[in-house]
Amino acid sequence: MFTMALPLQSDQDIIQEYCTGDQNRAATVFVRKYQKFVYSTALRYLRSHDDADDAAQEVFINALRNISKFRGESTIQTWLYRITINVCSGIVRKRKFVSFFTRDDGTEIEIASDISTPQQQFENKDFEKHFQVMLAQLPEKQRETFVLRYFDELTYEEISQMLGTSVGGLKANYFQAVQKLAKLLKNSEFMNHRGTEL
Amino acid sequence: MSTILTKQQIEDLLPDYAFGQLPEEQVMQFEHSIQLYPDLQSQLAEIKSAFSTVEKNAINSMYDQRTRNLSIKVIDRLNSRRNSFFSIYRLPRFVVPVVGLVVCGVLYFQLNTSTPLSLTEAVKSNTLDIVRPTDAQLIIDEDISYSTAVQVTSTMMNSPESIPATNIVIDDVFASIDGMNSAKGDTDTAYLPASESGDDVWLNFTENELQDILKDLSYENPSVL
Repeated sequence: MFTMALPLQSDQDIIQEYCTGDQNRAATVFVRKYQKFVYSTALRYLRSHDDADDAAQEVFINALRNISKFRGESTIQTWLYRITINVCSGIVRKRKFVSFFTRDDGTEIEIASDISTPQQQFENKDFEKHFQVMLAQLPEKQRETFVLRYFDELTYEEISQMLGTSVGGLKANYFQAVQKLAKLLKNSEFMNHRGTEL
Repeated sequence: MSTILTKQQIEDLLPDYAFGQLPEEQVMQFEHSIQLYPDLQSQLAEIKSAFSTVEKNAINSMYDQRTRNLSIKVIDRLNSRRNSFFSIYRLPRFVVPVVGLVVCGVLYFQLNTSTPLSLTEAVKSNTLDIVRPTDAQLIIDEDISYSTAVQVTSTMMNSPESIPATNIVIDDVFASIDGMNSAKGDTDTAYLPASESGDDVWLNFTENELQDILKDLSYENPSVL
């Protein structure tokens, strides 16, 4: 008899399916749901697509191995954010250790791609690279607040749980980050050129 | 009727308003309040204009592209870890620590069994050589009974030729016994008279008297010996 699997919508459904049902299916849904969030967070910390890719895989493996222990005291996103930060810190530490022995300065920022893409994708990639450079000029708290609110569209309460900052402080950080980025965007030749094209 | 927001409150809400993230019920209040602050109005215009070049979707689509195979990679790695858990390649990870632990255990027991006798046992089996002044104190520190200590002393006195560095050692033992007597406080059962004139008190006894005293002491508590 043919049975159709129900769609896994909530995090609870995914956890239950992973613990008691089809692990591969649950893992796929789980990773696809949060991959962009984890990857972008790792990229901000590591500034390398290859490292961010490795870190994202490690984060999901750690998360899935311990998913049965997730108690639901915070959201899955908050939990994943913490795991991502831990994994990235480990990679940064390892990178420093290696660079100490190899006399590498450890600040290599790669933005290479193995994807052959049409013109639009190249432009997007350049834009993304340019925007990442501007984001990197912000203080960490402001940068994290901006990205989590602007791109990930999380609520202030969720961001507060992730960063351990009060909602009032986050709003102030967000405003300052937006102000600084607006100035950087205004003075950016790349953006001005792009603006006239658009 | 909506209340007017303070400048600080407007600043807090300004980015959300600029990016369309402000809840419906707050939009009217914000628009009404910002009229009072021309500097914030110009800031809002500046932010809107600057961010008009930012294509959120473009960045998001870049991330989508970068992570398009992530789930496959993660599942592959998870499955390979699961499969390799009982594989033969994993065996050394368990075998090596277990062997190490066994070797350590064996060494530990070997070393333990070959350790020298404790002071008490050495005294009882007459194998202890008291050669240094500190040995007497060691006997006391080891909490050896009075009788045992006296037995040691008597042995040394019966066979003076076996006593190396005699005077100092015997003095220390006697001084310790004096100390124990005074701590005991019972003069009837005290084994030796408390020293009133230091070491000279032992010179007042004849050899026979000393032998008698020591004999009494050894009979008094023979189980210790």
